[in-house]
Amino acid sequence: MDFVAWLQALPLSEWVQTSDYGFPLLLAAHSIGLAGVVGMMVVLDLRVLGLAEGIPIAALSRLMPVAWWGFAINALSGILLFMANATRLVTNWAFILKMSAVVLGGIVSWLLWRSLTGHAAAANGRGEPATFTITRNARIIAVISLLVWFGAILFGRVIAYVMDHAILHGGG
Amino acid sequence: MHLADLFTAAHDTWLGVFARSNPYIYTIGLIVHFTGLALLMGAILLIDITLLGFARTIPPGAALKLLPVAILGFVLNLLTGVMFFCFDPERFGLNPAFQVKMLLVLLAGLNALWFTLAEHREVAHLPAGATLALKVRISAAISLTLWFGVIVAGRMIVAFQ
Repeated sequence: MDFVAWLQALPLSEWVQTSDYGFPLLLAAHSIGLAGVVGMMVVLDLRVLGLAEGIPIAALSRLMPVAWWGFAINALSGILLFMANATRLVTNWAFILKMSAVVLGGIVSWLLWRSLTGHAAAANGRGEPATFTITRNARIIAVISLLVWFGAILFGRVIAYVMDHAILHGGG
Repeated sequence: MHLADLFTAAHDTWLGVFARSNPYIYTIGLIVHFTGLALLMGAILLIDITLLGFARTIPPGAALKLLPVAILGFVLNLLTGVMFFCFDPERFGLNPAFQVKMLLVLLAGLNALWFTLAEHREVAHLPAGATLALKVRISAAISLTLWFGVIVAGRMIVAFQ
């Protein structure tokens, strides 16, 4: 608890909390990152589930940096948003569930790629698997992935309400 | 009809009454709105990256198969968005960030309409790696810029209240 109190007392945390545009701009960045990470993962999951089959999985594999950039933006903006309200967030159940969903989302993504590459045994000269196969397991993991990322969005939205009991305000 | 009358009319619609009838409805609406964002932006990212020529192994027609996902995301956001507006029309209607957001949505829609009417049919038949017309690439760049602008403007609404 001392650490989070110290974190929240840092000048940077206070700036996020008190400036007119700091908080909304960080939330804007956080939503852009959401588009990158969840957007790309949703496309991959839907492709694995049979949508837009003309898109090669290998092409999606090469586009994963978009998801990683989104993740990086959200880790950074997320840390700053956390710092501004650290003492209240550590006990916020929605925040804890959201963080769990994000960690789970990362694990599920790793499992999905592992499943698609057949345990990454065959790799060509460019360090990419030569073939991707969509197994029944991969489809199940894709469904779980969709649910987990939806959970991250859901609990992320609920954080503010748990914090402020602000449901009646209809705040964004 | 004055703007104030329009706001009152929107406020009094069944959707406005419904939105204010239970404090959880707005919250659930926002969860749906952000889910729609993920669907719309995921599909848009993949389509526009392909139309910009950055994914040369994806046939443009295959990327465009994701359009229904984008449309589903957009419809979810349109419906929840109209509900938020009817919840408190004055709060949104007079907010400069909201006005900018609506303008950007309109421009993004017009850009998508132009692509659909003028280019979609031809582009959908191109093989992977084909050189895309400059106007198609410009339209894709405009699309990405506008949709990311929509996100930023939407998040700035609270800053102008």
